[in-house]
Amino acid sequence: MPVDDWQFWVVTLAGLLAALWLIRLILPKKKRGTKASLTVGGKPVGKPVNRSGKTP
Amino acid sequence: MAKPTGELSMSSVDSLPETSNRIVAVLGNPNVGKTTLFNRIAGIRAKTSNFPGTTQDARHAQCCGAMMIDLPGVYSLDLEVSESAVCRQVLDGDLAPAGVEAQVPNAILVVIDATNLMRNMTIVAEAIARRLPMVVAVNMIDLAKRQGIHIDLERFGECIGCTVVGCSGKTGEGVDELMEAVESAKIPDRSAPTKLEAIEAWGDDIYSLVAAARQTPANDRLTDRLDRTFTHPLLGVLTFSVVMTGLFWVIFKLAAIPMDLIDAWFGTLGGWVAGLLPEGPISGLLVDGIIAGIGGTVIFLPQIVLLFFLLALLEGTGYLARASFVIDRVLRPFGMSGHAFVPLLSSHACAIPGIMAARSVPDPKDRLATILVAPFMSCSARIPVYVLLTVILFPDSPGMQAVAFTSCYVIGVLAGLFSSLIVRRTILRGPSRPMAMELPSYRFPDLKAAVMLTYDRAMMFLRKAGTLIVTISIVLWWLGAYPNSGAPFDPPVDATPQQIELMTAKAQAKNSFLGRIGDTIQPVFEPLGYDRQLTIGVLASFAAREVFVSTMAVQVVGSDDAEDDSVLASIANATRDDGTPVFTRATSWSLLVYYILAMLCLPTLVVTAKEAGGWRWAWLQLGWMTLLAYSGALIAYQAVSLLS
Amino acid sequence: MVDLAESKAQSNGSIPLTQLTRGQSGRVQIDGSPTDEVKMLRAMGLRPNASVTMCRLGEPCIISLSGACGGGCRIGLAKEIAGRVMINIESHSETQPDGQANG
Repeated sequence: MPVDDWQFWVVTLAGLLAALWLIRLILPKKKRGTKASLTVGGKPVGKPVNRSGKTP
Repeated sequence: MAKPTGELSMSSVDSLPETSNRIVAVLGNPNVGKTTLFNRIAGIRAKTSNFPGTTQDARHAQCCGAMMIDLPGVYSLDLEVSESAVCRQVLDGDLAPAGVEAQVPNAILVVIDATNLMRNMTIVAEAIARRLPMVVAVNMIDLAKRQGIHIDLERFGECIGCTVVGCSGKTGEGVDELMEAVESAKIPDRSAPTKLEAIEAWGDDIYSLVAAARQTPANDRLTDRLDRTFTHPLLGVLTFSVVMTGLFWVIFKLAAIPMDLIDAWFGTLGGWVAGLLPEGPISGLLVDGIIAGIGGTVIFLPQIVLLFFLLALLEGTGYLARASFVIDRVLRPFGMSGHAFVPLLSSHACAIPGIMAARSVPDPKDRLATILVAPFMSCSARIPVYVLLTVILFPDSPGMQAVAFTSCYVIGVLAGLFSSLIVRRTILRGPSRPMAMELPSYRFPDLKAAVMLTYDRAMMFLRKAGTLIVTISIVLWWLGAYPNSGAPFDPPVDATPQQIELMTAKAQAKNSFLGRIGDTIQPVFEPLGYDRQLTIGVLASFAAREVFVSTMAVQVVGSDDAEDDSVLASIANATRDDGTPVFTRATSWSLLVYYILAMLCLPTLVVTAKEAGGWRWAWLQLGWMTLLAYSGALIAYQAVSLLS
Repeated sequence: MVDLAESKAQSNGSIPLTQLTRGQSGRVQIDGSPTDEVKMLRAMGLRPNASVTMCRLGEPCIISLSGACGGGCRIGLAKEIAGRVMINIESHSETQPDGQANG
């Protein structure tokens, strides 16, 4: 492995990033966003939907 | 279903600094021309994304001072289907398209069909019950006029207590007036019933007050005759076959030209970049990894674009609805519904948009079955492999090549049906949901809508597949490039420098990580007749199936910028380490069967996981297809070996 | 709103949709509590007393919802579902004229 070739490190970094990105795809996703909140009427929200930023 | 008023929840939430964006939700039955109307209002500003956590497409556009969200067409908000659930959630303020902040809409635009008023009253009543500012658009007013239906819009507005505007999404009539009304929408000052029977009675009453129609039956005879033909057990199937064959033929023929252009263009681009940069790993990564990866994705585009465009046109004519019933008869014994038709058809270009199209299948089990078997439909990535192998198998007989080629498609479909049958008898037990679908009237398709739909789908494909294929190509390139030293060897005395270069490249490939992985895995494929090079080709196909040809080329030739013809010839004549040919008859058959049946596309796997809602479905798909492919290839290899 | 009892008295008894002949009309009769399927069909237009005309028998069953559907609102139903839809045949087989009539 040409460890003294700077280009080698560049492409290896690229390869690592790509591999990490792929691995992340396979890992179980964590749901983002607030999970539970109440509306004014006191109704609990249904299933945790991936909401884009609504806050109670 | 009374909800807290829009105002109330908003004011308690108004501590949010920038809820200044107005949201207008566009609601309505299917087939009322809502899409055409939305397109006319929004124009090219319309974007398609996804409602997070659901399988519904979300069309939205920022225009006329508001974020307009085109909700899925629903007959009623009160049904247990995902479309209705999504509409409810958006109207509750709990859901919005990806990238849009969810809030209770500031106004609802209810689109109804002037030629179908009474049925549309259900959704009008449900919208009124939401107590949000609202406007009713009576769409297709031009069609109604032609059919002699007259609607007293003012009276209508009085009856329901909000503004009613007549318009036509097709001609543009009334659209400006409509948008003005939307901007100054008010909460209806009348209420509507909430119970089903009461709603229906209410709708009847209003209809009798505001609508009048000529006493002529519409000229349904042509429609009747067409319907009977298109759904006839014999004629219907015949028509269907003709239409589908025509569709495929057009797609393959027309797409070939831009595909060749794209191929050439990326080849040129690669050469240019290679010439620009000094030789070295970065140049290699760029040219053989990234550019090749992008090229490998983009080359799908012509087929995908053509397929979706033609399908959109076909759907616009109203024919597809009838064809779905024809296909339903065929698919239901195997556990899928007629709705699976478009996804499975689309999968013949590429399974990725096909699987995403499965969102239109209403029954969850039917949908899952469709997603799982979609990759069995021979996608266009398999074509280079099919071509290579059929040419190797039948070098002097184009007739036999064609037969073999077609058989590959047939086997794929049969394997898909068979797998669906098994899945529906075991894990996803239950009968397939029978179809009940409105049959829209036959009409001239909306070209603009077709173009916009195609554009959306194409972009979605590029984003999803493109990123995956490029990433995988990078990783594979690295594994094939390092360690970049081959075992030292003594070149034969009379070898030219060029030959030495080729032999060095071959040795390097053998010694790379990819090569070593190939060596390790190769024994698994030994019973199928694959050597190390083929094993690597198969493994590399995980990025994208057509990578097989270029991977073989690289191993066999040392570089793949030779002329097309000679590359294929070189591959066909490739030799194994021990000097025997790689592509013996038995091996070729085995490889062909393997490629028909195998799940060899990581991007598809990822999309399956996303759309099916879990990686276990993707693993199931991978496991089952690999099992089938391995067994099939094994049988093929052993059988052909025995017989020759 | 037409009384169900009234319509029963008028009709010859209800039959499943699949037993209609081509061109024959009838009115939908809904008994009992609505299942999901009934709710869906109802929302699509197959509501109590809706006037339907049989266009195509068999699989699929194609019906035309007349009366307030001047443009030809047609629905395709799998035979299985059609068999569960009950129809009161009109005493004459002419359809009600479209127009101000209720339903």
